[in-house]
Amino acid sequence: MRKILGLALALVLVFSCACFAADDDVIKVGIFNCLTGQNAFGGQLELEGTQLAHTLNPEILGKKVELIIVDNKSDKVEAANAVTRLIENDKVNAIIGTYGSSLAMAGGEVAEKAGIPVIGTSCTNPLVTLDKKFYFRVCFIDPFQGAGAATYAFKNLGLKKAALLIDVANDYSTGLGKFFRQSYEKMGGEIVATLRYNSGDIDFTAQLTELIKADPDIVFLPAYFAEGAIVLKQAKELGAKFRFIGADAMDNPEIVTLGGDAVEGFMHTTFAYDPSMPEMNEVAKQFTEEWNKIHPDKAPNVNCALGYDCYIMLKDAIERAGSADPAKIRDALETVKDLPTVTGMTTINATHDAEKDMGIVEIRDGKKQFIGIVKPEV
Amino acid sequence: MQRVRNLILTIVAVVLFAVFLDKAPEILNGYWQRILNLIAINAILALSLNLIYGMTGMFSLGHAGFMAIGAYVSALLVLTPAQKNSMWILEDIYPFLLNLNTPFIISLIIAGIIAAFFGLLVALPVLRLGGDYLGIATLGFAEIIRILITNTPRLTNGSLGLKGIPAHTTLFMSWGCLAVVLICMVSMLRSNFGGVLRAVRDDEVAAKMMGINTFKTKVIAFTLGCFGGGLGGALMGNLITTIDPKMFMITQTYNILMIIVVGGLGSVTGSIIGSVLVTTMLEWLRFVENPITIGSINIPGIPGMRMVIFSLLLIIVIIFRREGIMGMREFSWNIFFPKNRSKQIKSKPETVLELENVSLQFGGLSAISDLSFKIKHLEIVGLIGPNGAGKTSAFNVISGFYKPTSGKIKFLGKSIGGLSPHEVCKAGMSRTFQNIRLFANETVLQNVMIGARVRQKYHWWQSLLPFIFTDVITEDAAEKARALDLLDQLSLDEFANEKASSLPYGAQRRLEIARALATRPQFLLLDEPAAGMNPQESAELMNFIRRLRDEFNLTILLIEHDMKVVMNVCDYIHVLDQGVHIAEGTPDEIKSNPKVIEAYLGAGASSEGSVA
Amino acid sequence: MELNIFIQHFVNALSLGSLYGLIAVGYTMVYGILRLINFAHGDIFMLGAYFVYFSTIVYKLPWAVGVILAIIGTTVCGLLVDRIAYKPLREAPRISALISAIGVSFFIENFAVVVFTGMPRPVVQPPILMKPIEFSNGVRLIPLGILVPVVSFVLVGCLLWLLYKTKPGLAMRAISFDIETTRMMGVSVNKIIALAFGLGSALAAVAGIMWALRYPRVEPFMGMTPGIKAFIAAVFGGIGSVPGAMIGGLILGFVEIMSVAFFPALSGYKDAFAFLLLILILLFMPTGILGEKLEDKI
Repeated sequence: MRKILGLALALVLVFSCACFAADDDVIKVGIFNCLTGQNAFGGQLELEGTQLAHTLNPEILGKKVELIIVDNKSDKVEAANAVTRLIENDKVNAIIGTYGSSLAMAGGEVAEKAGIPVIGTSCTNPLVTLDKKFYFRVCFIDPFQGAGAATYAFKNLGLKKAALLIDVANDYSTGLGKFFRQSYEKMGGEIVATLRYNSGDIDFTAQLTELIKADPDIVFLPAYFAEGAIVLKQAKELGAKFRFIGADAMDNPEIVTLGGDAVEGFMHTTFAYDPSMPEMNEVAKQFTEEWNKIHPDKAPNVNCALGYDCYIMLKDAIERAGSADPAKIRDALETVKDLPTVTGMTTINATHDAEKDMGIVEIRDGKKQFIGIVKPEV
Repeated sequence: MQRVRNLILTIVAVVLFAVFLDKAPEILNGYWQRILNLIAINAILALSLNLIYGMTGMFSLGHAGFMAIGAYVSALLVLTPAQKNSMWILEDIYPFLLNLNTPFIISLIIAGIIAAFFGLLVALPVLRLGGDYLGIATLGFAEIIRILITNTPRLTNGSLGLKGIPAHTTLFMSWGCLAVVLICMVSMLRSNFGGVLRAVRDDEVAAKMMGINTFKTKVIAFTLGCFGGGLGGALMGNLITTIDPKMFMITQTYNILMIIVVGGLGSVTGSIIGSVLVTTMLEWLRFVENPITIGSINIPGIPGMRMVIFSLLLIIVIIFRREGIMGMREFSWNIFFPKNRSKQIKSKPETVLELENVSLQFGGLSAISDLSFKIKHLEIVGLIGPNGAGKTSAFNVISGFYKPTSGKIKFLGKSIGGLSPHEVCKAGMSRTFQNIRLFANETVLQNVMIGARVRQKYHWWQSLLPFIFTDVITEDAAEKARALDLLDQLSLDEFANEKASSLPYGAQRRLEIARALATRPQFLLLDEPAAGMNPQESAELMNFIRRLRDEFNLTILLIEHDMKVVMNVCDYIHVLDQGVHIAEGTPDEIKSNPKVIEAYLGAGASSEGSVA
Repeated sequence: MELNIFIQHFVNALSLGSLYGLIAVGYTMVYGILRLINFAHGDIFMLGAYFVYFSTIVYKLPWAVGVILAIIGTTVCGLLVDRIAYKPLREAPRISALISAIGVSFFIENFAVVVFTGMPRPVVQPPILMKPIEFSNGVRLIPLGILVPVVSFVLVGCLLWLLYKTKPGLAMRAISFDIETTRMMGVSVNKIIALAFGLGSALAAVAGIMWALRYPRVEPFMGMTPGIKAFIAAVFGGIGSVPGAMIGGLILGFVEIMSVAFFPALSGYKDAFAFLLLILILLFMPTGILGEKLEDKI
């Protein structure tokens, strides 16, 4: 047995050496994302988006672009290791990633020190880019989105009594909950109840029964889609009469199949892209068409779009910088303005966050329908 | 000579490694430096859990919780007020926390201390539980700690976690901490206190009888382990520079557990090898997720393959090396070199032990009722009776394992009823067990040394720094000499460095007595010393028992079924039947006592020879 | 609290608790016999859910067939795990088997990520189970919510019958008492252990199927939280005791639901309540509610 083990190890060693090949005339783009672990569903979608953009634009400035993909296992320690590996071992010029703000923060610190620019996909926590010179993102941030959901509920729908159902163990959910409450109360609305659960819970009936007792007009549910769909389902079983509004983490084509008729009438804020959009810009059109060619069996969602946009924004920056030098890419990224991307026009602001439109999607007749753009009043 | 050689080799190795660390930034890229850092931190975590589980035998699944405490305490202490202000976006930070700021080293120490404090709080109620129940209770505490961190945003920033922690964990910092932990731990494990820890792990009952306060020992080991957990967590936080509650879930504990079991449970060397292996393996296996080209075949990378292969390797290692890589062995320089090959007691009161109307009941069942007798100084007294007569129960009451339901027990004029075994031992009483209870994994010498711990004066914490508290070294050395002397007298000296479990049966019996003698008792309880011996061996035993009394000035009470032994060696005999004291007298009187014969015949056994 | 709301909570708690109990029974059977905490049990449960997902949703088999296939498939997986990862370690220290169990758990989870991807898959529930029944006092029940506890109790009842009224059951109890003696009595110990693993896995499969119906999605990590919770439930009841595991599951279900119901403001601390109760129970009953009392033999 030991011999077999030894042989296996030797083989593995040979393989590991086989994959080192150096080429000077390529631009290396590292991708660190959660391809396994708890957040694998999000990371895998974003990776597919970036890979699509890469297939469509395999060369920048006439140089071949090589994608180097590293998994961060949805784990902070691994995230920091992954970024270090990309920078030190693979000598990448720039990095794209990741789903999950806490992972982005762990990786960002490493990139900051090494001076390699990173473009975040859907890490929306304000802390990700705080005091960072090299971290950018194509997504807007939680305060903006929380305010957007509040504005839509209070102003557009005229609902005056809201309640919150928050995942207390999730930074995204607690952050959004706070920002929703802040702007909803500022506009004059009333928060009648705040209920909490923990990531991984599957039974929300106790919280929902309490919510039904509090009788709000609308419940803000900043959950991940898998949990959110279950919440909606159980709410329907319990006969809840109020509506729900969620945020971009609910944006997934699976939500309809997961939630069935229970998600009918559910709304969420998201980035200004959905395959159901009536008028798409050119980038979005191309993205949707090409995506459907490769994945005929599944519709794209915002995570795919954001993964795609990261590559587009990086390409734009490298082209304007005229070089793949990390420092120059960084400088160019700072001046991104009105760049057409799948999720609308992107402008990078002083805090390195994307300023872009926010869309509202509603589930109607079992399909995601893009309702329109909302302007948050913060 | 050998010691000096080994010391020199150790110093050389340490200096070489320090030079390597110094040059590391030039030779190694940041990626490998990070992995080196992680190895050191994982080693600290593994060592601390190994102290709790491997060395002391407490199954703890709560290490991640103590890591969390350490990481948060340290982070809160090193973050600047400005950083804290900008980070607490959910709710405002408690004002008193805002301006707290200490240097990194101090924050590490405070982190360890606070984690240890929580460890102590957890240990006091929970360590009464045994085995898997302890595991689940500690897991519960770790989860409660995590839930509290999540739900107290004013203190911890809740699920948002902390970021921007200055990256204080440098190679010298992490390996320096590991060196300190290693020195303290190895010193402690080599001192007699380390033997005590292992004794508690191997046989808690026997350890109690050796005068060890096992509960206190466990609390000490657990608290020290938690200090290590907090320290490791703090270093980890300062390496990753951001922490949040989700980092410290049960999987984190699994990882550490994996390291110590793969390395070898109970082995310091194993923990370090384990952390090197597990840490580098996880990173090195990354290549299986990259596209691989061999010749013309192109295999696309599959995300997740790395963990699949890693878990398979883990299972294979455990199946083929179930004891882990090192087992319980330790590294020693000796493997590179070919092998070369006491007593005074004050005058005493006349009566040593006195029982007055002692009864013991379990539920409604009466094991002993109204037992009264006296044992005089330097007497050898036998306690006999058919099976189930309550002899061992009487021993257990006298030696403190059971509290008598009623009655008084006086030992050397003082009441000892209700004292726990280790206190009874301190008072000057020791015993052996019917089914031999040696510390099977320890050497013969160590077994005896553990018995001597109760008479040593140094405190457990001094064994962490024996170079400062030289008492540890001198006392251990004196005790070692005494132990060797004892082994010599009991003709066990040839086995001194062998594992107790490898001894022949008769020698194990003698070793158990030697260990009991090491506690320097005045009164010795022997529970069936002749069990399993052939006539020749039991004849030797009779001489041996008399010799014990004469040479060690002992008063002896023994339970024995072998009537030949009893009649020949005892000065006086007490007979029990179904918990009742039915007769007493000299051997001749007992032989002719009809009550005794009836009791034995009633139990369906013969008078001469083995009744068992 | 009004009565109708309380009844609503009560039914929910019963449903959740009986699922926890059903998984916990699998833990407890393996523990009772081998003294092994089978950390992979939650992942076996996940496989059960995936099997039913693939057979009924992807391959469109009828539910009855799908359920049977899922139970068989999961049982085979459970037996394989025992054969490959645990059987070689029967004589090894218990911690080795425990680490092997953690390895198996990592393996199954990541294998699922590789094969099924990390994307949660939706389970379509049969509509007949979902049609709400409304009572005059405002209580709403769905048939599934009643079906889950009923099936659980019936299965545990069958298991108890098997344990206490049949020969293999007797052998199982004998092994948990003293494995060596039982071996000497001529009982084929390995077969009986395999039977216990098979039964435990089959129960996990049923729990996985009902879980997938009740909380209609399957994903590779779905076994983690229920696995840990069921483990706690088994400890509550006294590891090794089948009725204890069921009682423990119910207690856990009730604590989780009722703590939120009675203290909605503290809903974030829900799991902390459960753990605190666990520790308190252990402090007063160190081997759980129905666990065998361990005496130090001297």
